[in-house]
Amino acid sequence: MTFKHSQLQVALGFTVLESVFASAILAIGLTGAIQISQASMAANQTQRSFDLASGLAQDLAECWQVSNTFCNAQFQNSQNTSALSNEAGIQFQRSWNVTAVTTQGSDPYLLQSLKISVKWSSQDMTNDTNELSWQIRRAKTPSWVGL
Amino acid sequence: MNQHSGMASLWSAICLVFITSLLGWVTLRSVMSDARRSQHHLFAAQALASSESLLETAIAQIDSAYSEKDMATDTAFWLNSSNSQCPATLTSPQWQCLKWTASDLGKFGGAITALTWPEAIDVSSSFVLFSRDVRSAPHKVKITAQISLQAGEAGAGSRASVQQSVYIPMSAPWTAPLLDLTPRPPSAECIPVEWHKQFGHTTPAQLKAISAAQLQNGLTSMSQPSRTVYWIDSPLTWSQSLGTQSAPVVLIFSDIACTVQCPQIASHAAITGMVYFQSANACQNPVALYTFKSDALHFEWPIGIDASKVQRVSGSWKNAGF
Repeated sequence: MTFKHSQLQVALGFTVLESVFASAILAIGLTGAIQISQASMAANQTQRSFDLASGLAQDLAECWQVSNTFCNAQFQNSQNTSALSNEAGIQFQRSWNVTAVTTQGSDPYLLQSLKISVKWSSQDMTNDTNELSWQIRRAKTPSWVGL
Repeated sequence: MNQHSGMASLWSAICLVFITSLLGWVTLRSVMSDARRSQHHLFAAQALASSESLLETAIAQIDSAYSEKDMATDTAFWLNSSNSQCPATLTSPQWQCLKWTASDLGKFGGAITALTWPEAIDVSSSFVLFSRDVRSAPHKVKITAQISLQAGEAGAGSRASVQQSVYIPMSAPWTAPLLDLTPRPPSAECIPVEWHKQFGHTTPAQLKAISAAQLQNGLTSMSQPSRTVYWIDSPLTWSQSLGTQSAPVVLIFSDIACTVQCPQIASHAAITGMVYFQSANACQNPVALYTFKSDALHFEWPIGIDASKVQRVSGSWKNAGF
């Protein structure tokens, strides 16, 4: 009877210890998994912001190269700033500057340069400001399209 | 039984942790690979924008140079050109190429001011290639811009290449010569042929520039293909046979050659094509009737184009791509 009791106690003790170990391993593992997920989400968000910033810059660069009412109105001034935000609440600040590149021709605006800068704040702990720069040139040389 | 239950719990926890870690790692790899792909798209777009900037700079370069309306510009522009700078696909001597780099290669003549290159470009591995066919289309220049993003830029080393063709005012749309080709008797009144009746709106300076370009590129009567435009300032007797039915020539004796009296053409010299004396003195020459073929000047221009300025060739923009 005494032997049986002590055998039961050993068995019970071992189970508790195993459970504690199991819980600890599970907790460490889950913490790691959560951290990995957080890193993935942060990387994803950062890249998404870069994609959006690049899209905003390219959109403006494309607009600069076509001549329609909307785009012409946008570039009435040689430099400007506009604020935009996405659904995640990140504020993008887009600014641009148009300058003429000197040529030996008589037209001072034959070659122009557009510099675009898109800035936004990271949503992580650091709250750093990110910036994407974009630059494009355009010559006024016309395209012959027919009679 | 309880002992087995404890071991089962431990194994279950280990297995769960292992599976969760594996899933997390796979997810992270997937996200990172997606982020890298997205970054590469961004770098490629940046490289493309830079190559477009360089292409536009090259177009402005050629536009500002040719806006001088002086055909001496053409010689200055192509001063350091050669067939050896052409890519492997354009080895025929009719191709004239100028590789414009930011280093010592491809410098323009003194009359041309080189424009500044766009920022963010690695100038040691970027270039602009101007190429044209001096025999069949000296008025059409293909411009290829290839760039590599410089170190220090995001996406350093990303490359892109774009090309576009432009028309330059090197000739005019072809118009049929307004000439009376019937042989005149020697006693007939001499009437010098006006330039525009022979060559339409193409100017003497343009033909002189085309002749100089063909000569500079190594085209001769013996080369394959052969030279087609000869602008001669020398008053010496011409003794060389030129042109064939399939490759006629244009031989022009300039007003310099005809200052005193236009050069004679030796009786044994057979010219197939067109001979023109740019002077009223031409009437002093007993000019024989040469086979009349003006094909050497028949350059392709779109109908209705104003050929007096630099223009982009519609539909010629191409992303040469990597």
